[in-house]
Amino acid sequence: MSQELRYVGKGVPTESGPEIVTGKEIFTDDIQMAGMLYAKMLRSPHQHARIKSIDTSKAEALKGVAAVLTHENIYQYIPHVLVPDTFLLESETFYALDSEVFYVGEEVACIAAESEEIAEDALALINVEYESLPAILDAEQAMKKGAIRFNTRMDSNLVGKFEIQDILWGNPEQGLEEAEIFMEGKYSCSVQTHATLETNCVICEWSNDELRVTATIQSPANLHLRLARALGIPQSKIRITAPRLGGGFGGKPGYAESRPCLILAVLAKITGKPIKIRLTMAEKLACTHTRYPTVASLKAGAKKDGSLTLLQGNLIANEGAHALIHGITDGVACSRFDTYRIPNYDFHAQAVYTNKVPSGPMRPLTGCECFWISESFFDELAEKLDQDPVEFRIKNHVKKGDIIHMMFSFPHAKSIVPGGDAPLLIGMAAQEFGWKGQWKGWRKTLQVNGTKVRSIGVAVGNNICGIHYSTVILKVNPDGSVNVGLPVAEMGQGLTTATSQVVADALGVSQDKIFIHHETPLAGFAYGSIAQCGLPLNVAAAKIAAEDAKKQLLEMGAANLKKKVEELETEDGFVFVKTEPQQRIDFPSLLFNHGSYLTVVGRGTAHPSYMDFDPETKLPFQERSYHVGLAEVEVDTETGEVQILRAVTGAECGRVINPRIVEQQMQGSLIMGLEYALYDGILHDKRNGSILTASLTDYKLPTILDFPPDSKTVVSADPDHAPTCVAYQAKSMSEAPETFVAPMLANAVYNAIGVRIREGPLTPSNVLKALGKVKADIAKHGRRKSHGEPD
Amino acid sequence: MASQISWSFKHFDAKTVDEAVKHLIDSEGKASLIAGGTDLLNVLKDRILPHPPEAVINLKTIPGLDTIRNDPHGLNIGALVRLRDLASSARIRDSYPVFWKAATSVASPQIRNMATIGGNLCQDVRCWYYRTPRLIRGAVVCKRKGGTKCYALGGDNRYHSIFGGAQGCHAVCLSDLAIALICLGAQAETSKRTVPLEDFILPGVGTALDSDEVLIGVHIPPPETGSKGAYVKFTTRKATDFAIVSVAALLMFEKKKCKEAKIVLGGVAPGPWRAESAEDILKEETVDASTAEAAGKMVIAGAKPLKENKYKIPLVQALVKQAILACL
Repeated sequence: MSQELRYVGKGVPTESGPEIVTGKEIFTDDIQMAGMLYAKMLRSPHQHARIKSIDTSKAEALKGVAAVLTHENIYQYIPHVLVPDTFLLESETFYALDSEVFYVGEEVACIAAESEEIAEDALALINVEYESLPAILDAEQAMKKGAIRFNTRMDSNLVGKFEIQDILWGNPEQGLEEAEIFMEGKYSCSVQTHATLETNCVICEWSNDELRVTATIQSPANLHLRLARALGIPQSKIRITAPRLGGGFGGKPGYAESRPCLILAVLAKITGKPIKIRLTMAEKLACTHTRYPTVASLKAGAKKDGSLTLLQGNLIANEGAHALIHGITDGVACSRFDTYRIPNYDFHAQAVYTNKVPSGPMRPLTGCECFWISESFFDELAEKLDQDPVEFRIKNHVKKGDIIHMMFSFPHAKSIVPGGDAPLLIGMAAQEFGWKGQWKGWRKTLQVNGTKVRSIGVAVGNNICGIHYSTVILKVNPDGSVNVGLPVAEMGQGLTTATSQVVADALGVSQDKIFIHHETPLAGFAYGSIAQCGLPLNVAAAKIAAEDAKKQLLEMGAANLKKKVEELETEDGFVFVKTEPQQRIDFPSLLFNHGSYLTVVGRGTAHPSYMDFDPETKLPFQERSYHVGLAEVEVDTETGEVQILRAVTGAECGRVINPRIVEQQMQGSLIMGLEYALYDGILHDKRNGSILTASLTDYKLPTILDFPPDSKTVVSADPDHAPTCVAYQAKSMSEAPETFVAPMLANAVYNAIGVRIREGPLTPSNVLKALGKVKADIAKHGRRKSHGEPD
Repeated sequence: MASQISWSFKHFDAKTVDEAVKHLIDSEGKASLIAGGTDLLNVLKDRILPHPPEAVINLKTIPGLDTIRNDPHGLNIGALVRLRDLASSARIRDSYPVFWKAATSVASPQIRNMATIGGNLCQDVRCWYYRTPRLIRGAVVCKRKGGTKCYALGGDNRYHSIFGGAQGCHAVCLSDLAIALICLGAQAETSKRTVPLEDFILPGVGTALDSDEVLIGVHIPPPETGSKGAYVKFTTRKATDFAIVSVAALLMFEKKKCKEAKIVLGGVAPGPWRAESAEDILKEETVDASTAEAAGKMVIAGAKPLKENKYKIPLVQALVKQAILACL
């Protein structure tokens, strides 16, 4: 493209900013319909139980209750109400309502009533007799032979997987032999959840035999496919609209929506009324998926010159009671450990079922869990090698042409970095931070002020740029305005703005003429706003559609202006002659002569694709965005408090479509990562599986006051770093900037206090324990039995 | 067992204290008082109580309870005075810095705009077992709700008492204002009586209010000359948070020697915890870093931490030391 880009690369404001901050934007829960019913779920108080009997007669008799569904009657209405997982792997479906329940808070029955209050009152009138079954919460325990079975119908607690997902490269024995220095360690992480201020909300309504769904959904097209299968109706008879989301972060890709959606579809059918469910914040925190509790044992070998020879590892991810993305967790987790150039790998991962609320994707799937582990571990290795941790990363980080694990895709176990220079980015960020002048060596403090010690740390992270493909529909209207149908939702990541910027430039129209819709089936197909799919799939598809439309408009213009296509260009809704810009014709005039509307379809494909192979190795390309963070922390060695004083975060994301959005994503990720690093996260009672953090008082989200007083962002924005990305060589980057935050802090805390905390998070309690300040027993003062304490 | 509990209630706007008391008597102990509502509304919405109130009596409609009055005997603060008004009072800031700091530390500006001093003193405990929303796992009837078991014992008790339970409950007192006001020797004024604030807070129960009694205000005696105070609140995040541990300290100096000391702790016991053994260390001493440290060490006399909250021992020791040093 020869012409200068008018919108791409500019920090244009996001399209709904004023509406959102003034409360005018419409979210799913704002939608009210005449005669609407409201649903509430009865939830299991047990972590594992069989429902012996369930009596809903009293609830049904309550005035204002329209219908009650349980596992006993839901199947009378619609034959196969099974909840399939994301990738439609048939082996892992579960029932929308079941006679066996697998975690505290799982759905047991659903009540439709004239108001939420009536529905909630009626919950207490359902009489359920449970037979409590043995349960297991810990994944390592659940792997053991003879362990309690999380589900009486399953033969094993191990989640099925694809062999190819483990990383088995080179010759591990040779790697072991060549190594002169070894590092071993076992690490585990805390459990974060999305805690979006907008909770999950679903509305179902039947219009004759068409099901209309409005939902807080990151992946409407995906839900579309799954709903049709589960309900046994044609996809063409389901329409899903995704209003703007009040935050997603992986909490609304469909898993939390599909189950209530199935139940509500049935309730809407039998009552003949529209029906809505919106989760309370307590339900959001307690009953929708979390990050994976993850534990890993690692061993690495290196030569004295610092080159790495081997990585061995065993990782266990606690999948919870349902595999929401069956067979994917372990493979994706493996690919979080391919950051450095290591010739020999022997790395295994296993997802394990337990009676915990399901785990699932969060900014990005397994990413923060695994980078906490890997970046803490490799930091320890760098110290053993007596290398500056920044130098270690610059030296060993994969870059263009290196082999990385094939995240998500089969049948390839390996792929190639098509562009990218993470070492360059690390160097840029380190320079901005002033690392060279600040780094005094391992476990050296920067400053000691009484009980407060300061030091610095670094960590890296990355994530894949999208999976699979997406189609969008673009329509140029007779008046020259443009509609684009995206089959994914806007959740604040800036997809809508970026799409309109790209379409405006690619088509040659003014950005304010473009309107983006988020619905399906009319908008096409995409897996959704997940796995950094936005730019590489959807925006790319929109660009391809825009280019197609432009081509057609140029051809119309050539006929009209009596010129060759090559002599023409588009701008601001006109086709004009390049050498004589005053010779031009506007789109409406062209379209009027050609049947008024111009509709095109664009298809965008992510890399890895099955089309783009490295000619030398014959391996597919895989684009990832690369990130780094450097921080200075202050630890109070008396109270265990950790504060982040200063941070430089860096992103390598090819061409930047909108610098404001990139910076927002980096800042948002930083504060979300602080939460993961420093706060408790989701906690369950180890004995009965009950949620302890079911409110935003107990589940802590940081406030703006917790943001570091000094933070900068560095962006390495070279289009050559993303050669296979279609949308102006822009890489997506909205998930990955959270991955390095927690280990960055852990590594800085280590240098401050001289003790490594391998089990997250970095709470005062864990810091004081690491410092040896928490005595196992306070024998001196006597430990009397408290009143009411069980023996 | 399925049984119908009614979560609807009658709502009364009381015009006078007497009227509020009359409504309390009429509802035979089955009423809740509401002022700012920042705590009660969550308690009601989450349906955590085994016996929800049949009546909610609004006190905001009673005139005159929202004023701060100064007299020679000290400061009289109406129960309806909002935390925002405490925080913006120059008189409180200058004469009672311990109290002022505590008031400004509560929650967020939005909550301080609604919440009252009376509500802060009468707030329910934050124990995560006690607060489990009914929608998640049905009714959780713990010891405090008349059940047989305190779930924090043997459960996750990282934020519970290190000084044992009260009435079998191990939840801690988290009222910032109670900690600070007890340190200042404040009294609670109710529709019936005047009681020292330390007797007003009833560990394991809530408050000493009878079922026909309304808190109408707080009286703080005038600050003693030579006294210096500090309020230290340790939280997970910088705003909108309850204390993990809080310390209110007030030291009276005479010729550089500490004549009197009062140290009250929050977040460590079912009620505000008076650290008398630490106070004794300071009396008649020239307070410096080493005496502060020694007093801090003593503060855990009698502590019996639970499995998950042993870290509060070094934490409270450090914070008491910090608070004492902040008084110098």
